[in-house]
Amino acid sequence: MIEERLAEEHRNAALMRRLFDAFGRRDGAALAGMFSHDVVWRVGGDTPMSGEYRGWRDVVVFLRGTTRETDGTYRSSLVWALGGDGRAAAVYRARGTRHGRELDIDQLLLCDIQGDRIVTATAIPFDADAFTRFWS
Amino acid sequence: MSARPPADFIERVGEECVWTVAGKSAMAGTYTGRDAILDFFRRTQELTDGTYAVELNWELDDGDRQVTYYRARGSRPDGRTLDIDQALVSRLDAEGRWAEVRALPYDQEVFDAFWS
Repeated sequence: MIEERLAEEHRNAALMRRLFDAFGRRDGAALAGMFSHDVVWRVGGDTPMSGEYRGWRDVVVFLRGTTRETDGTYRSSLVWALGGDGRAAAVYRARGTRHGRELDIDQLLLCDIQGDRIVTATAIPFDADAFTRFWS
Repeated sequence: MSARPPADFIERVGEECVWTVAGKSAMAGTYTGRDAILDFFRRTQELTDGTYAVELNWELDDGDRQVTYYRARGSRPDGRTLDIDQALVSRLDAEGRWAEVRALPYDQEVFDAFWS
């Protein structure tokens, strides 16, 4: 019934699927095309990666930073996504290694969407302690 | 739309619901069953002199899974205040009530400092 589920999938859930596909391919051009010009990407906590990244260029630089900081090991894979008018949510698995530390946790991404572009994205780890230990 | 737990959340808690609160605060842990969860809701009110309230930003579900995104606000008698985004990641039961809930604050440190 996978076909039925995909057929019923909201366009904004499909956008989440394309977003994580682009993450997996490390396709910065595809990512940039999914963000509004003035997108805001928020990462909670108190780590060097935490903060608000404003504008698609800074967001793409931030996302590239997750690769750079982990010697290319960081991966985020979509677990499931929900979409509605102007909104989407995705649960994804974040994995990587950094300075001998390992990350393997679920995270939540909450997005506001206008047209087919993400205007705000808020990332929340399921395990904030593990997230902080990894990125600090 | 706004809601002040437990009033609007009570009816959404399934009998066998398992509710997990992340972090290191006194509220962190896993609450199993409707009664334990409603006790937890009552405790949020007791600890905040009834000021704890949530305002729904938005909610999405597909009949099986649900994400609830809201603002949580409150104050403790000693002056601590809370005003942060939070989310519930849930699995729904056959009646559309919460069967499994994971409560996630945007800022875990602020959440823990408030509820500790």
